[in-house]
Amino acid sequence: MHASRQPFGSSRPPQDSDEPIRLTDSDAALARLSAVQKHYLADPFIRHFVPRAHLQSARPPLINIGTYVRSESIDWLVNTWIDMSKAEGKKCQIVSLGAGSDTRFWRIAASHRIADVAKYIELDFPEITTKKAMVIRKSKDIGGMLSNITVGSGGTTLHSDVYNLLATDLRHPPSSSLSPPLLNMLDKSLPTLLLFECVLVYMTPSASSSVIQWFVDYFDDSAPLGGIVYEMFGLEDSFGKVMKNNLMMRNVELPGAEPYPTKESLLQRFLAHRFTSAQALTLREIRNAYVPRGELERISHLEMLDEIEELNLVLDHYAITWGFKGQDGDGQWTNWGLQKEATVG
Amino acid sequence: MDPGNSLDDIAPIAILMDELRSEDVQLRLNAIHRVNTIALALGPERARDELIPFLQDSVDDEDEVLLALAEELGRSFEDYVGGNKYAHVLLGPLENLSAVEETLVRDKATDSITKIAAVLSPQQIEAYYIPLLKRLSQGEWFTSRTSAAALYAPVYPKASPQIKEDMRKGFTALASDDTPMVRRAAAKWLGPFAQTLSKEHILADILPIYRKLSADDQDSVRLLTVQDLTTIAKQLEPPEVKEQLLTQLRQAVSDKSWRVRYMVANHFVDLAQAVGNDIVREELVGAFVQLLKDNEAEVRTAGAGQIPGFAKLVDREVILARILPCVRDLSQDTSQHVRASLANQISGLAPLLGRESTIEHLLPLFLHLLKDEFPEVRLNIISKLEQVNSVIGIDLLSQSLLPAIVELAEDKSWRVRQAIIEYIPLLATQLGKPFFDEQLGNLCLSWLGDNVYSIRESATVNLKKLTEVFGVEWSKTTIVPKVLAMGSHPNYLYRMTTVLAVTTMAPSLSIDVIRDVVLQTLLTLVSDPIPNIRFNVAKSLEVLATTFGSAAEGQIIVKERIIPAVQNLKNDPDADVRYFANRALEKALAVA
Amino acid sequence: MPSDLDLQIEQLIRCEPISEEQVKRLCLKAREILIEEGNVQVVDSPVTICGDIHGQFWDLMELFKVGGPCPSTSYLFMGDFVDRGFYSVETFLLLLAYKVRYPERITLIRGNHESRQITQVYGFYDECQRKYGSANVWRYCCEVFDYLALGAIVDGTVFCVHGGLSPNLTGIDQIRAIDRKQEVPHDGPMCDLLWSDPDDIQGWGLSPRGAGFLFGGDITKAFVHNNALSLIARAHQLAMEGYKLMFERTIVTVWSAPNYCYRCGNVASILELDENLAQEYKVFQHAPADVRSIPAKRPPAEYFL
Repeated sequence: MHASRQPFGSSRPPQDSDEPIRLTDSDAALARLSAVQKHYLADPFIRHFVPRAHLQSARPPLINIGTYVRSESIDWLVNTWIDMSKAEGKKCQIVSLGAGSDTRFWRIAASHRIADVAKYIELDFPEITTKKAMVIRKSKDIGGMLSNITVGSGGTTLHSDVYNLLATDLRHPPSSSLSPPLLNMLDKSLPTLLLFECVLVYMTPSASSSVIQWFVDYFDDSAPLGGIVYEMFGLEDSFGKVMKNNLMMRNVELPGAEPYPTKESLLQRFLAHRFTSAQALTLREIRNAYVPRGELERISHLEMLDEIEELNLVLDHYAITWGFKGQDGDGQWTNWGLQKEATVG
Repeated sequence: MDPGNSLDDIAPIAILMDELRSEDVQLRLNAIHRVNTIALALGPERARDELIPFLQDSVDDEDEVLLALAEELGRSFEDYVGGNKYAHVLLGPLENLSAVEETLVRDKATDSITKIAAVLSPQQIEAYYIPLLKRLSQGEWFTSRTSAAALYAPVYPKASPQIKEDMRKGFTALASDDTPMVRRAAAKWLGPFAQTLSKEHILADILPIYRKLSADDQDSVRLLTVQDLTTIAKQLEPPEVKEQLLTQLRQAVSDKSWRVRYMVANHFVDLAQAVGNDIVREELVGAFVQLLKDNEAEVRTAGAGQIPGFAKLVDREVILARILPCVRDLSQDTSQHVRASLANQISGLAPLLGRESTIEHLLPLFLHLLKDEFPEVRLNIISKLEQVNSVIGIDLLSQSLLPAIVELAEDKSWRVRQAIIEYIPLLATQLGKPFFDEQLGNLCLSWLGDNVYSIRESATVNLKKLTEVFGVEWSKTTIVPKVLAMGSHPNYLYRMTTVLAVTTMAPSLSIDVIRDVVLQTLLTLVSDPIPNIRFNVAKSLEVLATTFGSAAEGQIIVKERIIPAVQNLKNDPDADVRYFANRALEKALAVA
Repeated sequence: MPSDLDLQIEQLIRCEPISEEQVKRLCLKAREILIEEGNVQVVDSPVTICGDIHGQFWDLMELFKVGGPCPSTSYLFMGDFVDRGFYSVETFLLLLAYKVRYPERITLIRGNHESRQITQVYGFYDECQRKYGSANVWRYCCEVFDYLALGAIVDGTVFCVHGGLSPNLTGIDQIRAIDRKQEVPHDGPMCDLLWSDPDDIQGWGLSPRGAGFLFGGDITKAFVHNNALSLIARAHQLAMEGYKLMFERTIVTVWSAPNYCYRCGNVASILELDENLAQEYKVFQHAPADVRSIPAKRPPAEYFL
C-alpha cells in the first residue's frame, strides 16, 4: 500500500533531489532509440546520445507507437514553422527548453531547412548539458556538424554559430534562469518557436507561467511567436492516479499537471499569455486522424499490437498543444498546425 | 572455471585483454570480477608493473564494467599488489574512475579510495593521496570535483598540520564551486568532514562553509545542509549551537522551498536530539508546530511521522497545549497521505499522555479517523490500537470504539474487514460472553456468508478462536447450530463454508459435540451433488479422524461412522473425491 | 507424503520457479492431459471463470483469495496467462501444475498470447531467458500452448473463448473440427477465436489489432441463438470496471488483471457461475505493495517522459 507521498523515497538523504527528473531524459532518449531500431523513425544521431546504444533492448510496441506519433507531430510543427518563416523571407529561431538529449537540431542540420534557422538554442540542467557537451565534443559525427564550437562555464555550456547549449534551472525566476544565459542570443524581431517537450509538467504552474511570459515579453509584438507543449494531462482519473503513484516511486513528481484535467484546459497554457490562438490534440486523436493511412499501415506491420484499449488509454493522457502569437492579418501563420492525415515529418 | 589451469600456460594479462575485448558485456564483467585471480597468478610485482597500468590506461568500457572494476579494486586488492606499502598504486585507476560521467561508478570509486585510505601510511598519503585529491578538486569537468568532496574526510586525521590547512581551504573552494553539482557534493560530505575536525576548526572553517551552503540559491544544495546542521550541532555545546546555528535553523524551518522544509520535518527528531533541551523548548516546539501547519502536504506528512518521537522530548503540558491542537487539525487534513501518516503515529502519543488525557483527547480522534474515507487511514488506526489498549484498557476502548468497529465490519475493502476480524478474539476476551453475544455475535456469523473467500476463511478461524475463549458449551449453543444450518443452503458456496468451518473448528470442539451434533451434517454432505463439496468432506473427515482417533470414544466414531462414509467416497465417480477419500481412509485406518 | 507435484505447487505458490528439468516433465504430463481435451472442452458448473492474467502473479494470488483456492473452487481460465507482467513463468507453471494435479478442477484455454510469436515481443520469452539462462523453458511452454483447448462450454450453455467469434464459424461444432495443435495462425477461424472483439457495429468489421475481426450485436445474438447458449464469456480486452456486459447480456468480457501492466488503474473481476449458472461478478483490486507485488529491482512502468 502506498504509504505517503515521499519526494525522495528513502530516508537516506538524496545526493540530489533532481536526479530522478533528469533520468526522465534518459528514458526519452531510450524510447527514441528503440523507435529508431524498430524502424518507426529514422534518426542516425540518437545512438550518439545513448550510452551503450547497441546494447539497449527495445521498448514495448505501445511505447514505440507513442514515440512515433509524438515525434512525427512535433517534427511537422517545427518544420512548417521553419517553412513559413522562410516564406516570409525570414530566418527563424528555435528555443528548446528542457531539451535533454534531443537530436532535432542535427536532423534539421542534415536537411535543407538549416539554411533558414538563425539560432537553435537548447536549455537544460547543467548535468544534462555537460553530458551533451561532452558528446558533441567527442563525436565527429555530431560535433562536425557545428561550426566554431566553444565550451564554457566549467563544461556546462557549448556555443557554436547556430546551435547553442545552455545550462539553467527553469524553475528559478526567469530573471536569473533565462535573462543571463540568453543575453544577446535571440533576435527580438525574428519568428521564434518555443519547444517544451515533457518539461513544464515537472515544474510548478507558476514557474511555467513565468517562463512563457518571459518570452512573450522579450520579443517584439510584431514578431511571430509559437509554442509547442507536449506532455501528460488529465491525471485525475484512475490511470492518472496510478501514473502519479508509479512516478512517485521513481521520485518523479508532476506538479505541472494539476491545472490541466481536460484537453480544453490545455489551451490556457498559451491563451493566458496573450497568444492569439491555441490548439490541442491528444496522441490518440493524432494517431486516429492525423497520421496518414499509409504510415499507419506501415507501422502496424512493424510489431503486433496486442491491446488497443491500453494503447488508447495511454495515448489519451498525452497531448500536443501549440499556440501562436501574432498580429491581425498574419495570413499563412493561421494555418500553422497539424493537418488531418498529413502529419509526417 | 578453474583459474589455475588456464592461466598457467598463457600470459594472464593477455587473457584479460582478450576477454575485455569480447562483444558480450557479461564476459567482460566476468573478466573484471576475476581480476584478483589474475593478479594472484601474476604475483605482486607483475600485478603492480603490468596489471595496474593496464587497468589504468586501457579500460574504457560500459558503466557496468567500470562499476565492477571500481568495486573490485576496493576489495582489499592491496593484498594482491604487495600489501599495504603498495596500496597507493591502486589510486591510479580509481582516480580515472572518479572522473567518469556515471554517478554510480564515481561513487563506487570514491568508496574504494576511502577503503584504501584506511591502510595508507601518512607518508603514502602525503606522497600519493594528497596530490590525487588536489587533481580531482581542480578537475576540468564537474565529475572529478564532485568525487573530490567525498575524499577529504577519510585522510584528514592522518595529515600533517600544513596539509590539513590546505585541505580545509580545498574543501572551502569546492563549497564555492560554480556548478551546483559540486556544491551539492560539498554539502553532502560536509558532515563527515566536520566530524574529523577539531572544535576550533569547526568554528573557524566548517561554520562559514555551512552558512554559505545553507544559503545557496539552489534548494537542492540547501536541503542537503539539513543533515550537516545536525552533525555540526552534535559537535558543539548547546550555548554554541544557540549562538552559531540558531539563524540557520530558523531559516531551514521557514525555507521558501518545500523540499528543504520537508527535509527538516523528516529529520526533526534527530535534529532536536542534536541541539539540546533548551533549544527544543525555546525554538523547536514552535518550529515543529509551524511544520505541522505547513502549506505542503508532503511536509505535513513528514512532520506527522515525527510526532511521537518529538513528543517524547517535551513535557506533557507542551504536548497538550501545543502539539495536540496540531494533531487535531491533521486528523482533518485535506490530504489522505497526511491523515494516513498521522493514523500510523497517533497512538504513540497515548503512553505519553496517560489514561485520562488519552480518553479525553485521543479517543475522539481515533473515532474520527476510523471513519476516514480512505481505507489506509482506517487500517493504520486499527493496526495500532494495541498501544492504546495498554494505556486506557480494552473496556473503555471497546465501548467507545464498538460502533465504529461494527461499521468497519461491513467495510467495502475486504482487507479492512479482515483486519477487524483479526481483532475480534482480543475484544471477546475483554468483553465477556453476554456483552459479546449481544454486540458482536451476529456479526461473526455474517462473515461466513461474505462474498470474498478469504473473509469466509478468516471467519471460520475466528469462530475457532472464539470457541477457545468462551468454551465448547457456548460454541455448541451459539455458533455450531448456525454453522451447520448453512450445510443445507441451496448455494454450494454456503455448504462449502459449513465444511470449511467444521474442519477448522473441530480441534477446538469436544468429541461429544462432534459425535452428537456435527458429524451428521458432514455425513449428509457425503452425497452432495457437487464433487468439490464431497472431497472437502473427505478432507474434513480426515481431520476428525486424526484429531479424535487417539481417544477410545474417538476410535469408535472413526470405526463406525467415519470409515464407512470414507469408503463410500472412495468409489466416487470423481477422481479428486477418490484421491482425498483414499488419503482420509489411510489416516483413519491408521488410528482406528 | 506430498507428491513431487504437490511440492512443486507449494514452491510455485511462493512465486519461486521450479527447475528446468521439472518444467520439462510438467509440460510433458500437461500435454498428455491436454491432448485428450476437446477443442471446446466440456465443463460442469459450479465454476469460476477468469480472464487475462498476464504474469501478474501476486494479483493471481489476490484472485484466489477472493474466489477461493484451487481445487476447492473449480476454475476456468480464458487464456493470456503470460506476457506483460513480471511473473509469467511462475504464473503459467502454477496454473499448469494445478492442471496436471487436478485436471477436473481447472480448465485452461488458449489466449492470443499463448503463441511463439507474441511471447517473443511481449516479455515471456525474455523472462524465461532471464530466469533460466536459456530458451528451453520457453520452448517447453510453447509446446504446451499448442495443445490448449480453443474454448470451453459450461453445462452446454455458457460458451467461453479468449477473443470471440469468426465469420468462418457459425456453430460450436465447427470449432470442434479445427486441427488446433499448431502455432496460432495469422488468420482463419482459429486465429479469430483468439483475436476477435465484440464492437458496437452491425455485422463484421476489421480489427485494429491486425488479426481477428470485430463482430456486432447481431452476429453475437445469432450465434447465441443458433447454438442454444445463454451467454458467451470472453476475455482479451481491458475492461476498466473488471467486466463488461454487452448486447443485452449475451456476451461478457471478463478481465482478471487488476491495474494491468501496473499502469492502467483498472479493477479486475472473476465470474462465479453457481450450480444453477447464476452469475456473480466479483470485482477485486491489485495486490497491496506489502504482499510483494513487485520485484525489488522493478523496471519502471512504461510512460513517455
